Amino acid sequence: MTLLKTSTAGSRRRKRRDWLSGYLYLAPAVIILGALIIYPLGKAVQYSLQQWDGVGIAKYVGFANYTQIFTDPVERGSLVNLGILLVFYSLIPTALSLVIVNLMRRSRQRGMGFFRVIYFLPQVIVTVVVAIVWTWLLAPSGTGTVNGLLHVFGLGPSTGTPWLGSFSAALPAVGFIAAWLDFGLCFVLLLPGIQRIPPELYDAARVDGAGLLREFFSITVPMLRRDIGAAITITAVAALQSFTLVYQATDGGPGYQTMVPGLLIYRDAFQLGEVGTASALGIAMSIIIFALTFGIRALIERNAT
Amino acid sequence: MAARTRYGRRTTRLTVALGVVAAAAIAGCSSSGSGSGASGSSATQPAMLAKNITGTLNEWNWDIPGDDPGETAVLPILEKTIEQEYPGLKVANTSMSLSDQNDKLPLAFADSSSAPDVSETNEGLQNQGRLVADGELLPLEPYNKLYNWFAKVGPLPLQYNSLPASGKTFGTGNVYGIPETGTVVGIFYNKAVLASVGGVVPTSWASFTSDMALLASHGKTAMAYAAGQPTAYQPVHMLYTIANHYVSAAAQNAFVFHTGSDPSIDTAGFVQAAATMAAWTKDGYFPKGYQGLSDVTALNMFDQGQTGFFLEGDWYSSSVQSALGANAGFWVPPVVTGGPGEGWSIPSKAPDPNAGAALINVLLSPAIQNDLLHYGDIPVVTPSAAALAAASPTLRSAAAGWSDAVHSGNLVPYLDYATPNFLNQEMAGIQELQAGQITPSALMQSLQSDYTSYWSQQG
Repeated sequence: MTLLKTSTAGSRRRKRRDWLSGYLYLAPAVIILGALIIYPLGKAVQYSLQQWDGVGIAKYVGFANYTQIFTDPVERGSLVNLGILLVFYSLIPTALSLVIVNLMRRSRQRGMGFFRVIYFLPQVIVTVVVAIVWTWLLAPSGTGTVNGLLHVFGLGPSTGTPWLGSFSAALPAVGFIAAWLDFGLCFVLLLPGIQRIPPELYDAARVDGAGLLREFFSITVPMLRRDIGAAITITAVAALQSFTLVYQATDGGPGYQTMVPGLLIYRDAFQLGEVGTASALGIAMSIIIFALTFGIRALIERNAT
Repeated sequence: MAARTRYGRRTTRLTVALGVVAAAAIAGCSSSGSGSGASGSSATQPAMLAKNITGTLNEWNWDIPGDDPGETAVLPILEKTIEQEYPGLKVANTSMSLSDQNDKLPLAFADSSSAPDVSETNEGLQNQGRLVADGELLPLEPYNKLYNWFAKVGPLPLQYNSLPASGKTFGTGNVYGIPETGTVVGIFYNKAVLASVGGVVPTSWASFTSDMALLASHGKTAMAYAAGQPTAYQPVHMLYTIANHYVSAAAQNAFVFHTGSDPSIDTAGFVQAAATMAAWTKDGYFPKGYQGLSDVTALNMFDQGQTGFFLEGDWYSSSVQSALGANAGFWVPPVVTGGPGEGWSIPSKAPDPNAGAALINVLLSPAIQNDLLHYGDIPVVTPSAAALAAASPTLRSAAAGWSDAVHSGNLVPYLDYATPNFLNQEMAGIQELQAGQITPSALMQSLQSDYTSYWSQQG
């Protein structure tokens, strides 16, 4: 009995030790996560309910900063622009890289590593540099390479189009740069996936008389579902956080044609001392990002079953 | 040297009104600062510095060669002059970045052990306003009685450095800073290009606009102009300069400093200015594709002789002068947009405020003011005829224009001082105006609405 009692007590102590050591192992991560993410997020929620300039005394204003997102034409417009940019940031590069990896699967070329590096290169270049280079390339003729090339092929006037300064062309032009930027990432994400698909599946489909399109929609797309989901999620989050490219290429102009929430958050918080408005927009963007991520995940999981 | 932009010099302008609120908040929270110290200056009565003074004069500045060629170049001359005048005095120079200024000054000035004897402070409420609200700067009126600075500098440059004790506005109240330089936005012209179309050197608004029409009728681009973002701020300078023809300096001052019964930008004059800018755009006075051009491209177009005019600040004069030589000219309209460089202030807890005042006085001396012109800045005090004659023609015109405008009361502040978001709003608005998306009156209504809304929130 005594022995048994000792043994039970020892086991309890050990369990408590295990329990304690488990939390001790967790502690560093929890502390860092709490201090650097959870606490600031909580503070941002608090600020979003206040009118505060960043220094003085804050005033509680309820959800006024949130309603402003939908009533202020510039903030509302920035959300619309973001919706359009999402297509360029996410859907176009994903779709394009899906088509290209599918074509590359069919003709296995040597030197694939080289292409992978080339396509991925834009991701490695600092976004500010990308924006500056594209600003030069898209400049009106005389300095802009794109306009110069278009003119050589008889596709544009000698004076060129101010792509980033024109009310109709600026947003698609920024979107084009974003698509160029994200294409490589999507390509690198999808290429290993397509190489994992057993060739027998394609052989079997071909035997059954499937054509190129049928193979693409019945084998490639379903088999790459998770990879496509990852590519769309990563690029969509990048789109929602977009700041550097727009700030450097157009500063939200002309007018507010390319204004995005990221740039507005920066202006509100650092130029105008409207920390409450900036926080509300930031929190709203976080909610949108969470919703979008879960939405894409749910879609992928539902189709998987 | 890369062309200077006013945003090097005018960085803090954007955040002026943020400072209004911040200054007020700090004034409310602060328990130290004013009135607490018997140390340092409060025991010192303003007086001329004794010639036999010994010790070290600590001077802080934010002059960098790229933005302030003259101010940087005169620093060693300034030190030498003071040390010759006061043989027992050593000048310790500390140059910092603009961000240092905002971060360090409030704390450093709070204690006599860390405060310098004299320091540059940025106009506007974010920096100077905050220091004034905290009681960290000395009003300079007592020193003016000794040295007569205000008359030399003129009222408008001082207005930028004037604040009431509340720190909620600026433009009136005690003077807390003395600037040593000025800036003006004028019109560079190329004599050869004008002559090629039978135009004349502009001496009035009528001759300038008729030259523009003449250039356009000969199929030439009249004005080197860029509106591409994020670098080109020419659109706002263009609108300001046109507005100066239609709106009095007094009315524009009232708008920027928010004084008078109903300060407004939604007036017939401003609408007329916007309409003129829209008309110039429509008439093809600006380069094709100007919407996508950078400020440097516009400067290069003018420097290469592609256009007759280039409307910008005097900070481009060295570039233009070296590119065009004898063909370069700079016309400063009678009512002109501009503003002073940083003000020199004396901390309340300066170890020896009288030594600080002595340094400011040397800065305003003819020798240093002439040197500022020689090294590429407009001196705040009218330079001597000999110094003017020796300066490059464009800078000479700029300095003369500055002096005339200050003394005639026709210097107009950069309108984007008006509210923190004014620059963003007017940049977007002007782009919409030039693209024909909004009317001139809609632009002014929208700017006025934002202005009214901002000031109504300031209490």
